[in-house]
Amino acid sequence: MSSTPLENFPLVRSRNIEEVRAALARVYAKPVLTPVRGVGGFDATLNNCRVGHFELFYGTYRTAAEFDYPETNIIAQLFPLRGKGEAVCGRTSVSLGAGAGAIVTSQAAHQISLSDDFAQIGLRFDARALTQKLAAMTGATINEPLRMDLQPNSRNPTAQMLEQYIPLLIETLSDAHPPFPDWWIVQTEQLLMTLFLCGHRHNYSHLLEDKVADAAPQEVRRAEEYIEANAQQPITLEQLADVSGVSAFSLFSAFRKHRGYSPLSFLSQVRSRRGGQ
Amino acid sequence: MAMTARSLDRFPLIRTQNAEEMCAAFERIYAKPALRLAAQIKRVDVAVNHYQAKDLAIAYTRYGADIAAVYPENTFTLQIFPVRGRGEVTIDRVSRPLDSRHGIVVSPETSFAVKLNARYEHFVLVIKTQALTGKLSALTGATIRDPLRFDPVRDDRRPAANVLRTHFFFLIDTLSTCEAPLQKAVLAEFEQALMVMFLHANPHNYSHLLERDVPDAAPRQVRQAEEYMEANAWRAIALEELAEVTGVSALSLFQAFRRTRGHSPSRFLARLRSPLGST
Repeated sequence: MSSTPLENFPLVRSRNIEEVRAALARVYAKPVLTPVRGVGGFDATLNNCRVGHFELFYGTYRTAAEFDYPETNIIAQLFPLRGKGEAVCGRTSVSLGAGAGAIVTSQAAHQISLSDDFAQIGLRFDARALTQKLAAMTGATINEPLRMDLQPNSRNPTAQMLEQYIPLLIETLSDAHPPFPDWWIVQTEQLLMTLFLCGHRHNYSHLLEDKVADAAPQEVRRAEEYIEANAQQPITLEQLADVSGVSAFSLFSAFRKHRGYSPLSFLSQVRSRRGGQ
Repeated sequence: MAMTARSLDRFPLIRTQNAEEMCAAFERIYAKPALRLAAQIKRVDVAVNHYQAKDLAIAYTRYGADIAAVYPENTFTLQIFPVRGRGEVTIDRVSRPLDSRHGIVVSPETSFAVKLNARYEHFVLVIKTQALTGKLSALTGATIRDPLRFDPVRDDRRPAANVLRTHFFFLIDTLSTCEAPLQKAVLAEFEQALMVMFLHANPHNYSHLLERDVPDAAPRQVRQAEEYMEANAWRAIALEELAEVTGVSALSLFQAFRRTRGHSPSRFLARLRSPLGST
């Protein structure tokens, strides 16, 4: 028998629906839980690890089931590992499957239906802590509650980063014994909340977008082309500024931002490369 | 080569197969290391990739030839994570192995020398010492007067060291494979996290301020002993003498040093006497 994620943090192993509802109520909210094809096959395995203001959850039920959740104070992202399902919140719904999850916002009743082979990892945040982090990141006053889109922004590189970070965190937790060091809790929680808020769409996303114009790479590319063509001669930063049509300072900054080095170190690179040929 | 796709290749800094070009490129970019190749070697296969964030940078290096290098003192704090091959690093006249299981931390204003074989590859985490000191001060609420000094040996068995390593390589993987530049807020958060992890992962002269449950008496005796050693470094000092000065047993003084400084009293003394150890 292969091990299940977060095995060292068992929440409940039970064939009893009421026991499972009570366990879910302890860490999330008490759902109306209806196994679809009778009670016979129902066999829940739920693990849950609480760290600071977030929780990691693993759940599988061995039978198709429907969950009707009331409003909560939690914002949760579901990462399905296998099986299929659907999450419905108000008038919107998303399909669940491996690589296709959902984000359930706080203060919103929602329904989740799952196939019998369904298994998932869940990441849950205390909505208040997440809102405080949002306020700290944006410097804005958050009056209107934070509302996440039900559909995860899975094309967003930051959302993908979060998805890749979760297995790493689970692996770390599988060797770890509470109590965890405070500094680790704080850093992990801050990283997760930042990735979550920057990666997914919500009613404050616009405050978190990088404002820098995307025109920069064109200037950088123009300067690079010029350097490639004239590497054998002395080149000054002023010359590059002329060619690329921006100030020497902006060009320098654009290189730092998009390439991580200066125009002149690019020149050194080109010369080194040619020197070697 | 297995590492290539994830070696920050999107951020090339030096590529050359010519030994002289390599030396020239290093001189332009870094703090003028003295590089020495075995006399017969003309051909190298150098790749240096460099990702610059605000307070830290990550570099990847391979030379493709047996090489020796001496790096002069500089203002940064470094941690070297070898991933392939073997080498040796010398700091304060003490030599230690470099391989995928043994890395090293280099304190600011510290010169170091390396000897590396042709297969050797490493990643380096380069942190602005001022930012690191600022972070330490913010975490502890203490005023940091004496410069930060790290114990050079990296101990991967410490859970904090493992946390740092995991996050460091996670960031490298992300930067190496991600098409778009990282969002500013995300990069800033990772920089903060790596600095905090670095301070917890690597023992230094302020580690005791980051650790809880350490009896307050110990650091005072440790500091007394350190002051005494500083005043008498020119002559031989016995551990018993230090015990007398501080009023605790030699054993408990030794243990207090280990716990709060991560090294022994004699190691502190050796550092004082080393020309590179003076601060």
